[in-house]
Amino acid sequence: MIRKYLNEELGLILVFLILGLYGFIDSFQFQYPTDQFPRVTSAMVVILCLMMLSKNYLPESMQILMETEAGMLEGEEEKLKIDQEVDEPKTSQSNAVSQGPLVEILPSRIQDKVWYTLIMLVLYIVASFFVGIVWITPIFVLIYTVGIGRPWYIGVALAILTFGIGYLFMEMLNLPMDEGGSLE
Amino acid sequence: MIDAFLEAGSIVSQPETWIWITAGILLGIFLGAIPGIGGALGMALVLPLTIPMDGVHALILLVSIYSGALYGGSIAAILINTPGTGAAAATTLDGYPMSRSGQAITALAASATASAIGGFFAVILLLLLSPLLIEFVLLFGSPEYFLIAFLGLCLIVVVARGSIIKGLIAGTFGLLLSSVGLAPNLPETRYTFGHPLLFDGISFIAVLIGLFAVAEMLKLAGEEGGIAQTTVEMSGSIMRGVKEVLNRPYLTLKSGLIGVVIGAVPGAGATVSTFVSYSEAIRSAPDLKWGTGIVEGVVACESANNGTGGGSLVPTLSFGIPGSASTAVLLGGLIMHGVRPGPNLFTGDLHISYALFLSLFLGNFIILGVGLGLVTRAGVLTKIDTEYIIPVVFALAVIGSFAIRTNWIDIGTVFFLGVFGVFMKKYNYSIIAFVLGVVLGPIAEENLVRSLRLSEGSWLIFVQSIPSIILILMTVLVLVSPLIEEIRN
Repeated sequence: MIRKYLNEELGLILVFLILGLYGFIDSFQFQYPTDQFPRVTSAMVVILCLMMLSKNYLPESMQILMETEAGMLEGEEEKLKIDQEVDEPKTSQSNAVSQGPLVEILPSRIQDKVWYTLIMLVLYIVASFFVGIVWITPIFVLIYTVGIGRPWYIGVALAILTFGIGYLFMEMLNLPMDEGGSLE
Repeated sequence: MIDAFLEAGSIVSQPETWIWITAGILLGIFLGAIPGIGGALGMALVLPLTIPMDGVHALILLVSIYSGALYGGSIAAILINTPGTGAAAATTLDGYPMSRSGQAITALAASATASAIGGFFAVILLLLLSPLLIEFVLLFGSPEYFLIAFLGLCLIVVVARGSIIKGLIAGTFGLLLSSVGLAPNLPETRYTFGHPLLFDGISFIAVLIGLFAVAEMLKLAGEEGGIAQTTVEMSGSIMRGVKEVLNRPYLTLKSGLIGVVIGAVPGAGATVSTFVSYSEAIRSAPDLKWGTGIVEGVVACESANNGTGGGSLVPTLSFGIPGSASTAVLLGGLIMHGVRPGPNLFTGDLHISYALFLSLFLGNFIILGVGLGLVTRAGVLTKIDTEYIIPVVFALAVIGSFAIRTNWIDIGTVFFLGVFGVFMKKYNYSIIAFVLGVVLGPIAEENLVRSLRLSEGSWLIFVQSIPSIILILMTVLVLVSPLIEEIRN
């Protein structure tokens, strides 16, 4: 569990570091003064990432800046949830409750709603790119809702709602949402 | 100034404006009441919808959603001990015990009344102080705007969740991401790989949608739908709730003032102000049984909560420094509709600022009306299964991001940042700092480039005025203060 934690966060830091390095190196191709801002910011990203990667070798006073602590903005509601009563809603990891017919056909290693949601989202975007957002959106909403075990008629209602929203957008803003896209 | 106020009054008195205020407040209350959703997500999804709207009406809609969500978060906090927004976290301390002791309706009515009064007070204070604010804002030039953008980012980093270094990584990465595309004021493209779709850069609206909507829904997918396991008993008295607040004018107004002051601090927000207000209420009346279900606990939090709404507009409009996720989206809305934060909003465009203040003022009437009128039915909101919301939000996210520029890069941005955002949240890399970096990046760079041009390349321009030196010292102090505190401990 701890290894998994370290690997995922390490991966995140490496993504920041690689993109920061690329940004820094590429900034030397830009003219002055448009090179200043990206060079300074990318250098900061690289330095900060290197500090995170080498935190165990830094002085204790520097390590304090890297210690995780919950602040007032995003942390308090999480702290409060720990103190809440037993009758709180359970997570979807419970074995006693069916997660939905389409969730359960996934390989057991990724048989949870997060993976199901992610895969459906990817399929939705890819299909929309080839067919058109306004047509794929209601299909996605219906399949997703039924796939997690919710009643089909609610899925149909939501599909109609989202089709209506998509159609309104298309008409009001004159958007080409009824056809596939292009990356050119 | 009087002309601007009258012009704002004429804008706000239009029937169309009232429709947008009402729609925004209702949507905000609905979104704020559902745990895990909140105002920022709703505002991010609505942002592309406002493209064809008149700029002022679009901003009024966004501000109304923000204000409604600040109040809406208290509904779930009181009824099921789960705050709908971070700002309502402190309300659970006394609101939920009141609900458990059969006073749910009293607590909700008190919440609506205190929120409305706190909001009214905040707006009146802002209108009275606006002449001073104008003079203060006019002291700032390009070097100062660059420095205050950086100070705002550092403040968010220190106040938000996670370590300072992680927050700085997130914030500076956001700044770097904002430099993709055409450089400001020069015909040079950066980090585009020669691809024309990237010439306009990464859309900050797509970033907002990805991080606030998609990431949140992916996270929510891992939790069971938000159905309250127990039936909430809706008992109590609306009139009693209103009277309890009216019988405590000092507490209500003091809490509202705390909300305005803390809301005006870049980087702080309603979560901070509600806890500070609650702590101050305890300090001033230690003999009361705090935490057992007393109305004072609800009043102190909710008045500060909505007071923050008004206060947070000050740094957002004056300097483009948002104090929270919601005001970051609001800032995005300002920029999207061609309204630049800064001196203009307190000189030539003063009527826009006043229109926003007045719409907040009027919105509080709607909050009061909805809060008191529908309080007996508020329990329905806690029964909404959030799993129905997930596919709808995804659909809105894809449609909305396509609507920005009909550019599939934006949809890709939404997806990748949505996934990236899940990991950032998981390992406490501040999303708000990241968003702030993306939104403030162009403002910061524009002022940096202009300052360097004025000084012919010399960085000394950033230490040549007293406001600049003060800002630099404040930035250093903000960054090292946690270190100093740790050493002292």
